[in-house]
Amino acid sequence: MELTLFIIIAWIIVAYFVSVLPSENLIRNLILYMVLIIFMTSVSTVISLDLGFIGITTNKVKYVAVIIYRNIITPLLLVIFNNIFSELKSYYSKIASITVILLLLSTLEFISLRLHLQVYIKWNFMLFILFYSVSILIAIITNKGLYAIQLRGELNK
Amino acid sequence: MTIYYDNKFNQNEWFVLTLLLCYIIVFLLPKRFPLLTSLLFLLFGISIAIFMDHSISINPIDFYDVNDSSKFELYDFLLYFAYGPFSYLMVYFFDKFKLKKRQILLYIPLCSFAAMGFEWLAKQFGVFHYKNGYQILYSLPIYLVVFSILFYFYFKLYRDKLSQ
Repeated sequence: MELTLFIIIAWIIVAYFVSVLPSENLIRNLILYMVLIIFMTSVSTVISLDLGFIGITTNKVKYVAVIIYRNIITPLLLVIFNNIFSELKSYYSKIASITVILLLLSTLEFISLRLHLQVYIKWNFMLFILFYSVSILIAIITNKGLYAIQLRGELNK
Repeated sequence: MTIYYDNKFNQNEWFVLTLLLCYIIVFLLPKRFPLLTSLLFLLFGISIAIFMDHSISINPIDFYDVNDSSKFELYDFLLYFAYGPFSYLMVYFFDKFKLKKRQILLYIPLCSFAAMGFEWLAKQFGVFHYKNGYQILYSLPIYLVVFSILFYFYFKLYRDKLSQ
């Protein structure tokens, strides 16, 4: 049940990523996804494996759901968020979009905890929000940097 | 339970540092791709290595440990960065020698066997420690799939656009 649920969520997000996001931003979005994978996966492993703050399920089927959640759903959600965020003009709508994405991520995290995909040992929702706030910040900064590189490349053509 | 293989600065750390020198080759080679595309090919190797290693080398699957212990350490992180030049150079030489699309049927398996050879070398230097029945042959399908994705990106995002 857990695996099915997370595969469906991942499918919706991947389908949105492939079909809705503009194809001219594909390289930028892929790079952003890779940067987020490097940061989020490394930090997650340190938190769970090295520090033992979060316990990951020992059930192999549930573990596949954890991998889908950690490596596909959350980074792709942040990439989609970034595309929407970069289109927004007003300060309030930007704050609102950050709040919505944090709520969405918190809901997914809540589901993963309820389904026993992971268990908090020395971790809590405040630290979770902090971790994702840093991830969002990294995503925004990276996207701005990549946009500047893309713009410079087009100017040099 | 954490397994410690050694705790000294020795051959596996030197192996990782030597691999990082491949970035010099990347920077010295003449530019072939736009900057963002080059960045994509470099990051592809790093992110896939982290994606795969942090999926199949930790509990409950736990097929192997990297470097000195089963924990995630600085040299593990540096090792992942050493994968970047390899994915870049694979695409670079394919493009440089103007190989045809159908030649990928030979190029990808060749690169996969080369990657297996390199993995074997890394194992001899104490970078990888296989566990739970894992064998080097199991890496072959992973390399085939990963390199196929890399070349899908190469054709879709670079070569096909050039030919349009």
